[in-house]
Amino acid sequence: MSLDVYQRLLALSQARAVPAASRAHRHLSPRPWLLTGYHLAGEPSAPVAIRYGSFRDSPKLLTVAEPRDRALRFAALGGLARDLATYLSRYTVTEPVVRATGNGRELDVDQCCVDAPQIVVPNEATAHWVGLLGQYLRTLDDPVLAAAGAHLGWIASRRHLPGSSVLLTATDLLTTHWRTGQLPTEDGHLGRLLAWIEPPAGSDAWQAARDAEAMPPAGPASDPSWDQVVLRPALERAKEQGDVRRLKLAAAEVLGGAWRDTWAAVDLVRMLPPGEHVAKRWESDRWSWTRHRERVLAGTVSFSARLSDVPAYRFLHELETRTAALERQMALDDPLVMARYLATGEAVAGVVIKRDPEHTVVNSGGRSVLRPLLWVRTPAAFDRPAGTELWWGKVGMVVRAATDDTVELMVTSGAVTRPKLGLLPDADAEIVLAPFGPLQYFPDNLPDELPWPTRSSRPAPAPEQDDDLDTDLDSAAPAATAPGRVPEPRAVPAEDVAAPATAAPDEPRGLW
Amino acid sequence: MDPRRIAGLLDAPGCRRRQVLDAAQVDLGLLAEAIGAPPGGQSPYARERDGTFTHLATARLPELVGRHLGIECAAAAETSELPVGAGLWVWREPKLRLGGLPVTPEQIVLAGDGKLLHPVEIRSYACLDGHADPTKVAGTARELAVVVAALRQAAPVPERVSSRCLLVLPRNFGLAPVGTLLDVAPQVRRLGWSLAQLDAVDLPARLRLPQPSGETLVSALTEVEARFGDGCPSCPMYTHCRRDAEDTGTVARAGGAAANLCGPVGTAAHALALAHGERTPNGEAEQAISDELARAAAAYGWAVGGSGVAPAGGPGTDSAGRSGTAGGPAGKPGAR
Amino acid sequence: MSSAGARHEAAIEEVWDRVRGTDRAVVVDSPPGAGKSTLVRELAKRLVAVGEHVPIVVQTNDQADDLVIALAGAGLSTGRLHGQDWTPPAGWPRTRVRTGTKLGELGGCDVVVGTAAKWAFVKSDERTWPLGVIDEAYQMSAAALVRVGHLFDRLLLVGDPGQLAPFTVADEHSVRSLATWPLDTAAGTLLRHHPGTPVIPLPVSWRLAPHTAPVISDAFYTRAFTAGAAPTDRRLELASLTHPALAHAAEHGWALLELPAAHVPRTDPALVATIADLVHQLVTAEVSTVDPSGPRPLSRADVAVGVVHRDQKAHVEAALQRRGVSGVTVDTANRLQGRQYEVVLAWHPLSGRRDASAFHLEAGRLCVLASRHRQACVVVSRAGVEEQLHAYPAAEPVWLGTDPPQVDGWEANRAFLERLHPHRIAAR
Repeated sequence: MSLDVYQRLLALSQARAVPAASRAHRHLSPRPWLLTGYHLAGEPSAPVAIRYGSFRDSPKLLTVAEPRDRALRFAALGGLARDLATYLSRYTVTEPVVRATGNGRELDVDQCCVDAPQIVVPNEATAHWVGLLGQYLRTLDDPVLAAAGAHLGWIASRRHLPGSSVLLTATDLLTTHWRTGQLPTEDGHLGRLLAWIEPPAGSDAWQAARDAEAMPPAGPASDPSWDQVVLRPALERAKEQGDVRRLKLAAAEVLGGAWRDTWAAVDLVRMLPPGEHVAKRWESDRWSWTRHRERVLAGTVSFSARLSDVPAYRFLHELETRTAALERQMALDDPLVMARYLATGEAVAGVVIKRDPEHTVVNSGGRSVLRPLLWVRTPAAFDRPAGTELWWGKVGMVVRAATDDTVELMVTSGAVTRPKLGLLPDADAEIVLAPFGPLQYFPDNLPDELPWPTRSSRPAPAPEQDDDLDTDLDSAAPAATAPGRVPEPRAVPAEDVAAPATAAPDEPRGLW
Repeated sequence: MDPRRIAGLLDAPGCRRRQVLDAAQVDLGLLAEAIGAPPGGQSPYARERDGTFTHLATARLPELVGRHLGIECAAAAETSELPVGAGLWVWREPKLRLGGLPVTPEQIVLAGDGKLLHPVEIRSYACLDGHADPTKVAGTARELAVVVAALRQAAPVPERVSSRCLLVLPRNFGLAPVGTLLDVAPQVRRLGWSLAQLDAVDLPARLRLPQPSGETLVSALTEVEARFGDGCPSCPMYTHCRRDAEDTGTVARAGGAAANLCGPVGTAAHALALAHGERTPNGEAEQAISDELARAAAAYGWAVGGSGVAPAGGPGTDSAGRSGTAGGPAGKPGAR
Repeated sequence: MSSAGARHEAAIEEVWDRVRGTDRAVVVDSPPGAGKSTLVRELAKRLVAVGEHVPIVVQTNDQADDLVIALAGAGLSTGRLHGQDWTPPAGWPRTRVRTGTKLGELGGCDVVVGTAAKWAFVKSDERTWPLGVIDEAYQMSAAALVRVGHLFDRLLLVGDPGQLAPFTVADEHSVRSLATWPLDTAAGTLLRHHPGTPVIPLPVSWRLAPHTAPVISDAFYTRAFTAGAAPTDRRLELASLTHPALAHAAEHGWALLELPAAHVPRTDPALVATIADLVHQLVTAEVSTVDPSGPRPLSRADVAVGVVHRDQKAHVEAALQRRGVSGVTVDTANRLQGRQYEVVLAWHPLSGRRDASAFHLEAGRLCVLASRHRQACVVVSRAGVEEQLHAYPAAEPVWLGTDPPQVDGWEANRAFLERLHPHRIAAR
């Protein structure tokens, strides 16, 4: 997109980020739960330190003196699980909501949680790690840990749904709302990103970004030299002498920066007024949280490792619907986002200079129908061909002709009956014509089970034997958790996307 | 050089500086020190886990090779040449060549089914529910392509070295090895093309010295043209080239999308001057770029309400209203 | 009968035998212009003759309309199952055709044609069929097949494996990370789940000429095909036309018209102007197209411009409108799939870029653009595409458990460019 490039060039030349949005496009909870962590290099389930909580000045800090020791890890994660449960317990109040069911013609009263939890992490790697942590916890034979695993599983599953605000990453929050002049891949580093948006006084973005890079890593991805120089001695001391002070200090050092930066990102986005559709999207998160809680209470929560069969197709449909909806909603909520479409020439901004509401054409059935005309003065030539479709809210129109400074449009929907002519823009009104109209909601139309052409007639091959060797260095004994007693590790709540078509969907229809 | 180094040729084939860096087999430690980059390397913990897993997985190879390649075999036998027949072999410190470049992996594990030889690779990144980080797998695939190509160069019958490799990874959160077949044929083809181009790389004379100093290295490399872009953070020269790009204000510093749009317009200042109509475009390409950026500038000016970059139009546009009704005429005329 | 004709007939008979046999599914791989539409029409006729009712699933409304017109023309009573907004195109048959938004309105039709999206609304408790026909089965996604598969006990899938892969707006990384890949083609997913399914390739392209078919076959297909026409069968006669690219393409089937190398925005105004001028010349000059059925003047409907992005389409259309040219098709590769023209002007996907991208390298995109023509194709591009290909890093993510694509986009682009090298013409 050319606006994106222009903004990056502006940022580059000013050595400071420029705004890419003038509205907050993510819901921001008044009381989010932040989590930053650092884990042992190469070990997918061995956290060294986690800092978390809802209070900026009094975070909890958890360290594991020997991350590869199951018992120590177990004890530490137990604390995290209990604190998470306490946080989540604040979001159990429900209210009655009237919603359409079935084919949309009947109304029903349903209970929905008035608010939902929100987790904020510094970067993508941490968000991914939240999912892994949940997956790992669910393999453990402990009700508190397994319950935390189920909750983290739900939280992580929302991350992939465009428009969901249950699990936010600070880097995504910032790149949604600002453009820097560095490589897009460098935007994944929270410290660098903040340096671009708010460089310290007397420092330009380049210098500030380099300084940020020199700080300890934001985790959970590890830094080899920090591991060697700081972490290793601290861990050894903790293990051999039982003295965890040095480890706590190291952990505070490595996680402190990420903790501050994550709060700073939240603060920055909080300064923007929320986009109009944000509350509606958050409502869909609240419904999902409500359903998740119901499943937890009923003991029916389950996760599938990777979606297959019908749920895979349902997930794809949901992703597609949400992706399209989010793009439109952001553009309609925020002129700075709509400007992207103006920059590509797909949208038009201008002033209505003339109207002919009485204009009619003869349709294919030989009847004369109302098709009002509008003339819009534009600052530059509109270079799309006649026939191009444009929308002003719900009013759809096609381009009839365009000159260097005027576009002639014929209204084709939304205001083509006499009672609705009042919906046309007034003469002299400043308007923006978007390349898209109101989003149509399509049912996913999926069958309850896969038809024969898309499933194998042969039995599925037997899974590889489940003999996971644990990563513990001390215990050579194979898995202490009995395979089969705990649910399979799963990444996505199966029911979230696998709800049978007849049941009330997670979200009211038409929301997307 | 280890296969990883040669696979680097596929990372940035469009950057001459990077090609020279790899073709001249520059000492990366020395280079990092000379340009003041962090030394990199592997965390001690990652190294430990790597060792543990490799040990465990090696013991289980016969079973995995049987399951995935259908080859019945006992424990791996040592070999010091390209083996023939059916079985499982470990070839330690083979001395191979690829084109003119030496290829010296620590070891190559090969499984033979009597007709074809399949390379077997053990890595310690996790395979969670049958899914591994696709970027890491892509890296492994490029390195395996180097091994396959080098083995083919050494083999009397090159076709006997298969591009279908067995990749062994730890399963889920544990250390149980799980195997997956990985066909690196596309990477082998790309490598062949890159090597053909490499022959044309003209190494600066100073890089051909037996043991150039760090300073000589950097200055010789700096003479060669670089191409800054999205893939650069993984390059050994990254911090150096980045500083270079910042000093010159090149558009590419902001990434590939910006460089693609701006084309021959090299610097951000130049591009913005075109966007703001402060400079007359020179030639049709610049005219096209200028039109595109001017429209972006006008759109931006419209959205932020005439502040900053939009001289005309004036204030008062209500950027707080709904875009359906708000927004004034664009502050700046766009493309003609 | 020519040997090409004999091979084609043999393939058709093999398909028919398979359709009348016991295989649950049959796949027909059809390269561009290999007689896929004729095959579908012929099979429908034969099936109706033995008393079957034939449901046909197509992918777009245009395809459905074209097919209905052809089937009615072949004397079959045909139903067109359509959506609410559909209006009949020009030349819609008055007899033997019924239309309706519900299956119930099409009673008595021997053949029913609808898009996959429309068929998805038919409930299997309403009706199922012993055999269904899917046209453009490589253009159809697995997700669409899931929604219609339950309607048919057996399936015949016909399609061109060189088409563009199904597209999604969803983030591919999310989909691939969390789900088994639901974005395969309909034919691909069926073959994966039923590996014993017979695949019958149609061996002859009747659209592509002898000098163009090998280029397409080599660059984009794993199963080779040849041209059915003899070298002397066709020609484009340019009585009053002098543009060297058109003259060259008229003689050789190809021209690669190269503008000076430049990195330009993707709506490259010079390229737009060049293409619009070429079209203008083509439709205003005296040009006739000659084939064994005799000569006839080249009409505007015989000419198409293939582009990569919708904004390129908009700019080319606007430029044509300014030149007073109408009636020439301008569309993206995506929407040109399955279509055929006498002369095609193709915007090279990599033209004017600094860096190639996976989107612009997709083999199907270039293949569609370069295989729509019977007579001549002028590929219009900025010079410098080789350098782009050379500079493209081999850094595509690799997903465990998926096979590499049968045709690699980078490789196909390189091969195609190499084959077009002798046909380069520098733009003045």
